[in-house]
Amino acid sequence: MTLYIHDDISFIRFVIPGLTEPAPYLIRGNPVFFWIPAFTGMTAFAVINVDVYKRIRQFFFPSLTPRFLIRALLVALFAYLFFGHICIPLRIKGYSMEPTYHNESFNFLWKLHYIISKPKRQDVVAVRFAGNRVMLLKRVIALEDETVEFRNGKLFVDGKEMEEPYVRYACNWNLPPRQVEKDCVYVVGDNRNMPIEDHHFGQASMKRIVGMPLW
Amino acid sequence: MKIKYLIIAILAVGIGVWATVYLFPSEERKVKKQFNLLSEWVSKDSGENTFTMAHKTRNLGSLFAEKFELKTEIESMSGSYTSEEISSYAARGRFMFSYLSLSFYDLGISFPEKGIAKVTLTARLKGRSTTGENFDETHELECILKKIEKRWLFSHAEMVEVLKK
Repeated sequence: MTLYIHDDISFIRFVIPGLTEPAPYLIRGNPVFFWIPAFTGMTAFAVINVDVYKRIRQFFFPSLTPRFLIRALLVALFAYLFFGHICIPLRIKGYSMEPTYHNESFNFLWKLHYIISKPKRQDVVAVRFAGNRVMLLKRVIALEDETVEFRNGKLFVDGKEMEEPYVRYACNWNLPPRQVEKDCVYVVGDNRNMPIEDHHFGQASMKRIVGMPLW
Repeated sequence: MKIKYLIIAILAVGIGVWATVYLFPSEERKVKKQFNLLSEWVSKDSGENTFTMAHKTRNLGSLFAEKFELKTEIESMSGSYTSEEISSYAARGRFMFSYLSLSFYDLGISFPEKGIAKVTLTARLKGRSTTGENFDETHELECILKKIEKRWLFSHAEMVEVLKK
């Protein structure tokens, strides 16, 4: 490895490790730009302005000033509030929402969505248990006061057959008509490719609807 | 230099708070500990030996009050059990599974009366039967623990219906 200093511009050339010995001052002064390409074992060429280099170094290895500590505290607080209470990262486990959401896929739960609006038919919602650590991901198929029923796998709401483009697997579910109670919605998973007894679905209180997935 | 002293002071306060909480646990922590023990003693690893199994099943009964009441949507499981019956059912039940894992989440603990703790939580039971069938069940539970001889013991558990078919 060779370092050429020309005014305020540093020319750094990386070669395949082992072929050339790096200068000791280079390792000491430039850990980020030396080691990352060196580990990859590739030949690279970089032109770095000294000011830019100092700024990047300050970013990765900041001085512990009060200003920095306050900034770090604020960033941590914001991340805690945002990712802990507003936009919660979630891992989907299970197959009840296939093929819309796959097992082991990743998403975020957007909790602000139902603060000013109510769930609509065909919305995918998260239904909480005792808290936010474990939730059910289901689709709203009927709203309060509506009558819901399944006949040979077809969904009927208030006696009218509903189109369900998100359901890919045919089923033969039969469920006698029932009316959705006040302040409740009726939720079902998209995957109907299982006996009705094995599928977790039904009427959920609006208080349990905590949000919707971001995508 | 000032920053260094500030960090040392914060660390010292943190260690002090941690030591106080650890050495003098609150009633809430004592209740949580019972749930941790229940989870540990119900769970079973695939390579569990007979000694560990006997130790777990014998201890499991000691977490429950003399009369424990269970209410679930499965009628045959609902009813009243003694702590000996629970140990005995647990021992028999564990033979049917090669792997079991019981976890508790979102424990909400309140004390409506002195000596009574009401806990709302999410319980997740995962496992694999000896015939190779996997299962994964999650339910919301409402539990009542009573303080008997300075120990919090499970006296009532009821399954909460989240989705009503």
